[in-house]
Amino acid sequence: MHNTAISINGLNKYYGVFQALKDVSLDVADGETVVICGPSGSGKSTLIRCMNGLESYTDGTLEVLGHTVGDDTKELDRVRKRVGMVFQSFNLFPHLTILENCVLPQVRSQGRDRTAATVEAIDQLKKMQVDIHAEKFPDQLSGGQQQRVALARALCLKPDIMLFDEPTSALDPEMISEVLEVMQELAREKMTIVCVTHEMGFAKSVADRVILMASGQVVEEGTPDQMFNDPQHEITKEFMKVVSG
Amino acid sequence: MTRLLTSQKFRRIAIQSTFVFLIAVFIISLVVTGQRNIAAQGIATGFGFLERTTGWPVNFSVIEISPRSTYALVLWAGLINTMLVGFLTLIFSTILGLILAFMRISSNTLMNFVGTAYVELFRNVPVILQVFFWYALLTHLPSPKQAYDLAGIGFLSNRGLMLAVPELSSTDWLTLLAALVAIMIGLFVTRGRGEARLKGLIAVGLIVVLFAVLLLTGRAPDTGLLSVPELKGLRFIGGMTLKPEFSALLIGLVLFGAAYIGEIIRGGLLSVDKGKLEAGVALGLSEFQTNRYVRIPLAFRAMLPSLSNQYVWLMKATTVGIAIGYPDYFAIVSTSINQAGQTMELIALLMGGFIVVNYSIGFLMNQINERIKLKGRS
Amino acid sequence: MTEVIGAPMRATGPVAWARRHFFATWYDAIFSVILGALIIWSFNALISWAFLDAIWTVENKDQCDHGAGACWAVIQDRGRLILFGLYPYEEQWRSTLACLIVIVTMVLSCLPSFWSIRRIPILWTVGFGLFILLMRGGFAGLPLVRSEQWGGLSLTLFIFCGVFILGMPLAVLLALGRRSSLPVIAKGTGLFIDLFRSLPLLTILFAAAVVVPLLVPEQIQGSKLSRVIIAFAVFFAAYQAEIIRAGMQSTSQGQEEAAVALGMPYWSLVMDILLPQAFRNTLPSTINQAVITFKETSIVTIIGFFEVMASGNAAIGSGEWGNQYVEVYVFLALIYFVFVFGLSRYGSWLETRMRLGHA
Repeated sequence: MHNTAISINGLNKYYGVFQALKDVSLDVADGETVVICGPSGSGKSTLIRCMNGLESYTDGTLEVLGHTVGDDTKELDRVRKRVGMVFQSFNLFPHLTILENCVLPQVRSQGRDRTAATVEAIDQLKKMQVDIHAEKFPDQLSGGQQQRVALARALCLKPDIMLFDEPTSALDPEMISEVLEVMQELAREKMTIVCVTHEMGFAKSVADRVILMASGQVVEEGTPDQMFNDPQHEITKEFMKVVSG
Repeated sequence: MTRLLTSQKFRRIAIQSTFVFLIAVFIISLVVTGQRNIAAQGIATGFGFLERTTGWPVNFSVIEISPRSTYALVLWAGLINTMLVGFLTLIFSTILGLILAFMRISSNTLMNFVGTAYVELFRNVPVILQVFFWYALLTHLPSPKQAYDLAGIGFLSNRGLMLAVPELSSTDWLTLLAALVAIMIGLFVTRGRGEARLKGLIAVGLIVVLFAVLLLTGRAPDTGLLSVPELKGLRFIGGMTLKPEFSALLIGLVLFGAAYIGEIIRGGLLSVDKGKLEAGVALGLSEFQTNRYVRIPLAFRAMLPSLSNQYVWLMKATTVGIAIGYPDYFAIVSTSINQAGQTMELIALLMGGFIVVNYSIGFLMNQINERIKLKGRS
Repeated sequence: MTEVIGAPMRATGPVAWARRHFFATWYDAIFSVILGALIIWSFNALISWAFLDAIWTVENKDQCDHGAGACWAVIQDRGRLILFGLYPYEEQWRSTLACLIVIVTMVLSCLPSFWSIRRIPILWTVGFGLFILLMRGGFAGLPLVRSEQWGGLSLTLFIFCGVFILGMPLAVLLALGRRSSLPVIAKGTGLFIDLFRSLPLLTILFAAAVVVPLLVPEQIQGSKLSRVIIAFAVFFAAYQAEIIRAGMQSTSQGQEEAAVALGMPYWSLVMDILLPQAFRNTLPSTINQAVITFKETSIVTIIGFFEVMASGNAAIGSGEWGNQYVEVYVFLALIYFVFVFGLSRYGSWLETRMRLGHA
């Protein structure tokens, strides 16, 4: 049993001469919900994408569920099977139906047989309240519905950790809440969550910790109460003023 | 060990090295087998054969060659033949294509119909069939004795089209060239409007008169200005002969190419945003002016990549000339392989020649593209 | 007070319609008259030549060289040569049947219900396999007819299908190679593709026929026909690879990331996600490429294969029909036209359908 779901130590990432991540150290415990925020270009997206190997890093250590995320493809494979991700632009497969979007990854990635996969898919789609659209295609759904399908698709694989990369940034305002609600439900069920977002309401309601990043570094971290009401660092104070003002 | 196999870095290096290794093995085995086979068949290697005389005639050439010319010269003649037919095809098919494009977007229904019928007809029949057709047509013309007389300056028979051409010696050509240069300098120096331009034009006029006088007076006795073909016995002497092999190939390629180029130009014209055209009209430009200043420049930029592709394709299509006996580069190489053996070297020369010509066209079009590209955020 | 000018209105009625379409401006009117006369005259001449004054049967052959009309008798006399080449007379029913099977296969692959990564290969394997079995024979009482005797339209179809079947998988491999993240493979396949695209087809086929025997040990040389088809397939693959690559590029990168994040293996990413979308997006270009390839099969006549272009020339070449080249060439043109025009029309229909909504 791993108490620390994600363990990051001294992570550095360079794009040529530009340093995207500077000596980042961070731990995420089992069942914790962590929100990462910060101005654009702060490296928060890069950091979260390092966690399932979509981005590589230059040096430091990164361990997820006891597996080292790095050069070894087998370890990487194991990590990806246990970590789910939801993207800003949904990334559903447009030529497949909603149902097939959820069934295919299970069949291909975990070798489940179709019948079992379909049952699981319908189950998850029901939880996201999009099961009535099962036979439709992604571009027939609204943004909010598509994002919920994306979440269902990831959850079908029964992950231990869920990563969210700005899940509501591409949505029209009236659809943001429907997505945040299902994410909040997930957090209450004690799923380990790392979420990059600007939605401070979400952070206030379910986050266990809020981490502020700027210029590739972790500036400050603490409970939502600490971060919003009593920020210590100058940058944090500036950021909180902009976000809540 | 297994840790190494699952390492991404190792895999990347291993896969790429294996790839290079396999290709190297493939190429080396080809070379070794090739050398063995060539030695076994007693064929010489190397490019020395280029200095041997060919011993066989070529039925059409721009430069002077005979069976006593070297292989190098004859191959060069073939390359020139290809470029001659190729560039003439590009020029004429573009002109015809432009006409077709405007016919197809015209609001006049009959124009539209004729344009569309043309394109559908000529695009859906293979080019080699079209070339065969024109060749058969041209070689079924009457013999020189019963040739069609074209107003005395030309004759059409199954030996080809004979035309009167200016009789100019090399000094005459130099004179013409000098005149051209003088005119261009004159126009450039006096560019601008109004009085300066008028002076410039007068100067150009004087230059033209001066050089015309030089041309007419400095001639050798008994040489007129034109060389006119005359029937002597069974053939025509004098003038320029356009052989049916050349003409059929040119006609076939131009008519075929125009159909495709017409469509490309039409696509370019149609792709111009309607809003811009409406802006032109709203600003008070006539339809002609809108076309000239707005539509055509924008269309040109849009169609350049497709046009360049089509040009390269047409250049390659000249190789079908061998089917009707036109001695293009490919035909000459193929005959040389038959006569001299040296297959590998000749094939290398063949491919090299075409790669050079095609990359040149591509490069040229790229340069034009870069220069006229709409600048802005890409 | 300013004058009120009424808004421009569109006139209606047949006279107005005629004015707009034919006589809009003074030069329009002139063109309409000239073109109209030209069209009527050529239409009349065509009908007279092709139908009214034409000679249809061989018995009336002597009228051919004197008559004003088309001498279609040449088709009656030489039609089988043109369609089947030197295939034995009694077995030509097999050739006909094989061609029909291939045509049916081509038509079926145009139906959306067959568009799956699994169905299309199966359909073509069956169709093409039947073609080869029927043409070759050598079993169940069907006498053996070797590929050297296949000719005319059936050889054209054979070459076309062979090129397509071999070329498509190769095109997919080349496209995947070119967009690989491994620089050596990407540059290598890039060079390969660019090389084949810059050379004339005839040069490549010629090299395959003449040069390959020198470079390759006897045992694996294969017949001239198979070498030429393979070379042609590689040429086709180079062009098709670029089309497929463009199709894969238009598939958003995000989908690849999603597939990776979901732990889907590379082959699944390619077969389930990239390829289906790439093919659907580039169907019009692919059809266009198929049309061009069909026309290009005529080039092999220069290498010495007896496909339909060569059989057409053979039909004329024999002294007695020497002057009937127009009729034979028109017949050949019609054969090509049917396939080529049919395919391109289908391509345009597809394009419209895709622009309006789901494929």
